[in-house]
Amino acid sequence: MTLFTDPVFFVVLIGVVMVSIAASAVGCLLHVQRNSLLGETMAHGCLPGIYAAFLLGGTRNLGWLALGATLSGLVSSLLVDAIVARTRIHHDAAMAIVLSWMFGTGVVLLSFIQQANLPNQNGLEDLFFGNAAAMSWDDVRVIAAVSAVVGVLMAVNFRRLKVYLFDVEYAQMQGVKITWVRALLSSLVAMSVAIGIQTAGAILMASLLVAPAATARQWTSRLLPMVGVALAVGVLGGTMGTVLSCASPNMPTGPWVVISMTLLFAMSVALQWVSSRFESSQEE
Amino acid sequence: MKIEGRCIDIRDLSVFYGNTKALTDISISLPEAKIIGIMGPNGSGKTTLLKCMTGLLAPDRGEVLLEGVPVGQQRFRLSYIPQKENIDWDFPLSVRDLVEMAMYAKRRWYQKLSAEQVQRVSSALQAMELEGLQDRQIGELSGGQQQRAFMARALASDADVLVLDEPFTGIDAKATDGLIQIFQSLRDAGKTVILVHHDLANAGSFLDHVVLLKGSLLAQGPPEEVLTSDLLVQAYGVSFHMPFGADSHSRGGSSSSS
Repeated sequence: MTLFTDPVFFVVLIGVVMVSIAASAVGCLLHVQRNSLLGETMAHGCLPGIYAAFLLGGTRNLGWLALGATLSGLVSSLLVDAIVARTRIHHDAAMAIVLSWMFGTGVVLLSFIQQANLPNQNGLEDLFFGNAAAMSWDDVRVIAAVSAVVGVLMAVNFRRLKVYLFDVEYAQMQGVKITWVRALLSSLVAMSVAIGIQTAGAILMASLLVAPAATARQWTSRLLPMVGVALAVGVLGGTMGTVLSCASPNMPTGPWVVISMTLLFAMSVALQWVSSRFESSQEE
Repeated sequence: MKIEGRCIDIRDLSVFYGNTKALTDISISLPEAKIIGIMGPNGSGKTTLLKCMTGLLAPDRGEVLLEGVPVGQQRFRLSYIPQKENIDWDFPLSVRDLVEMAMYAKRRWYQKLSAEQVQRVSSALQAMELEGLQDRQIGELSGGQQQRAFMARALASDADVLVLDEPFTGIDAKATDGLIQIFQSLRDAGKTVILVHHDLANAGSFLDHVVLLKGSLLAQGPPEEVLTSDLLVQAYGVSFHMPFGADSHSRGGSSSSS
């Protein structure tokens, strides 16, 4: 196998796996909050920030673009909250409004960049679906640093997040600063999405948050083990997708990762169904 | 500062939601180590009052004192048990996880529970007869067991005052009796139990003190003084036959939230 001796393959593999790890862990928090679509909203919401960062900085450095992505992801989450708080519009409609508006703004910014014929702009259009094959060691370093921040923040605040997600009022009575935890949760989502834009793109990124968490929830009914299983599914799906896309030429990595993760989810549903049939037939 | 025999002092409390008055000028002194029922029709401000008592809601005017000190400064002394429908019963959480939440504020993120804390969680589970169910996911419990699981969390946190919003909703007569017995043993152990209650039929049989609300305070005192037909007509606008003292647990009245 020439694939496994190819250094480019390893760069992509490491990057994709780290993106998947951060997304799977954070995805569990959104899943138990019944708020998985916030990931989708923030992923779409990242686009204008990325292009605005490019316009301001004139560079395609992932760290810089991820900063823009994180900030504009946070803006989209704040917009959703503001709409829900100030109007009679519900959460789902507010997310739909914000995600399409932010995405539209991103597309407009991109065409502005393309028409202005700015230097270094090649590859910016790839951020809709991702282009993991173009990943460099510098990108992987940024991804590693941000994933580490996500991981540490989540570990340190795990209990706080758990109480908050389950029972806001109890959390408040225990002295948890609710505004702070909300900001933390939004930041975790924004960061994990921002580093994944290059891998899976604004449109597909949400799948990396949703699928591993949904798969894990089928097999465990406690939060910490759920995060553990989701991480395993994320690593497996990320690896599968990268191998599948690199094994044949001109295959996009992001979509293959998404397909792999969804396949794992489908297999898990099937397995769950079979085992429940087996159990009930034993009881008879 | 301790005011003898008085647990919670509510002084000139008013809460507005926008232009709507939820509660107006409530002043009550609630006794300690009693089972106290907050009653009144839908929209009479029962839940609002409960939230002010726990410090979850800051009143627009007035204050709530627990033994002379504002509740906001000593929230750990109270435990609030929310309405059943406000809980996500599908949340990936075991019964033991739920009770361990009582210890979150008492340890740092990398610390495991101390042996003493593990013991407290275990004895709370034991007191609520849930040891055998501690690994179950919370949604797999019956209605009465779910309520007891939350009580166990309150016990583990060593709260002096337990505040419950409609604890009997969706619970059958047998579990209701069990829960009432638990309230009574907690009271006898010196805890104050405050609950929003709807069922006029059994109110007189286990409540030591009743607060009757309708946006403002209509009456408070022992049930036989408060649950009179005159006052109930004032509160609910219809007359009731009070099977007073009768131990009937018919599920009368409305059970929706206010």
